Amino acid sequence: MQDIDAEAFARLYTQHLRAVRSYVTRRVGPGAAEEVTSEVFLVAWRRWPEADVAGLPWLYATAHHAISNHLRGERRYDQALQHLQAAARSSPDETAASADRVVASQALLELSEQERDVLLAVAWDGLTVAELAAVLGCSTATAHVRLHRARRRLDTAMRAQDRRPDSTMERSR
Amino acid sequence: MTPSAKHRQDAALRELDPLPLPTADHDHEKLQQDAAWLLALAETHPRTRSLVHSHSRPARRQRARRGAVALGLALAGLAGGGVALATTGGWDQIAASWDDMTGHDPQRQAATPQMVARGTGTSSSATGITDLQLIAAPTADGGQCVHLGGGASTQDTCYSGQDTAPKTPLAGLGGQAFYQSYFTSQADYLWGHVDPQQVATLRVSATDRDPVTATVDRTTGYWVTSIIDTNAAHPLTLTAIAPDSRTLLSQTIAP
Repeated sequence: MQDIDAEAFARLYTQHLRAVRSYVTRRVGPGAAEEVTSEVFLVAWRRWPEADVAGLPWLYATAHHAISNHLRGERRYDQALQHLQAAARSSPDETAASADRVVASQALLELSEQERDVLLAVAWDGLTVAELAAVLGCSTATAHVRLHRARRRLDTAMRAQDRRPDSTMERSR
Repeated sequence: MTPSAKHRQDAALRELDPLPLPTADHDHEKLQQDAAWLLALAETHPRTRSLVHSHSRPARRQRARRGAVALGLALAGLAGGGVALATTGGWDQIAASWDDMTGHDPQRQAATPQMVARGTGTSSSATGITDLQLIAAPTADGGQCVHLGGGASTQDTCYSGQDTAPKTPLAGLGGQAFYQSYFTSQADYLWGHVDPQQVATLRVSATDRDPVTATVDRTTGYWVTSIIDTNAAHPLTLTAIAPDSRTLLSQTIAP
């Protein structure tokens, strides 16, 4: 049986649970979040001490895979995004900022899954480019490029949304 | 991309964040218990993990929430620098564990749990386990929740109606015929349910291990036993014996 450094594992878990759970919850919803988060830390145990040495970026990368597996099984990624869009539309907040939210949610649907992942990991989870690189399994320079391209794509898509009549109507309500 | 466009993009994405507020922190003890549960799950035999993962999603989520309670792990197990399976000890603790297990899921509240079988078995950590306890209750979806306690280990598991569909060698022996086992480093635990009119005892044997015999409870039809760690490398053979000592069935059940 594998020798377990339980105290070190508990330390890793305590230190990073919140970040990992938030990362997971944002992508699979609260219903499946605990299950997927548990899976992340089970993998951490199996890959000990690699997980301990690599820390949070490693956990993010593992969570990324676990989420992909979950969503592949559930085929809910696009469904989740549609909900996101619906929630943005149904918001009672009529400020310009909320209008941008509608535009952004629609624009996100036009991006590839990878582009959305990159943008949301930075915007929602506050990942650094180095952490993003760990999640994507690429160099920091490549992560920089991917983030830049995704930002540019979203910008273009948001501008296109701005020009749509229904979007304009939405914003001027 | 202009700075203002970047600012607008950042602000819009932040607004879309489904978790704008920090999620509530677990308290420290709960965190450690969860970590202990995960460790215990990771340490258990792969077959046990597959059992856990074969449960319905609500059941798995519930297990995750229950943390260490599910396997009877004590916080002391971590404090000692290693994982220790704590002795559950006593009906009160079992009942409390059961409440925790069933209290949050309407599917699991169909019936009051009751002691359905007691038994003995063997374990590598002691000369024998003399007081195995099996507590069970049917669930609303036709499955069962069971609590198996005794020796140095304890296990709570809920099976859905689908899980408990007759699909084991015991299926032909009446009742809701199934068995499950789980593994620790000390012993493999087995329990099941048969028609007590048809089956009086179940014998479990393995290569290089003394066989153990479980007596079927005459009232409930449940049985429970444990056999000293077989390391899952050697197959377990289950033999069902009728009240008149006829062998009704003898079949390999694991690994």
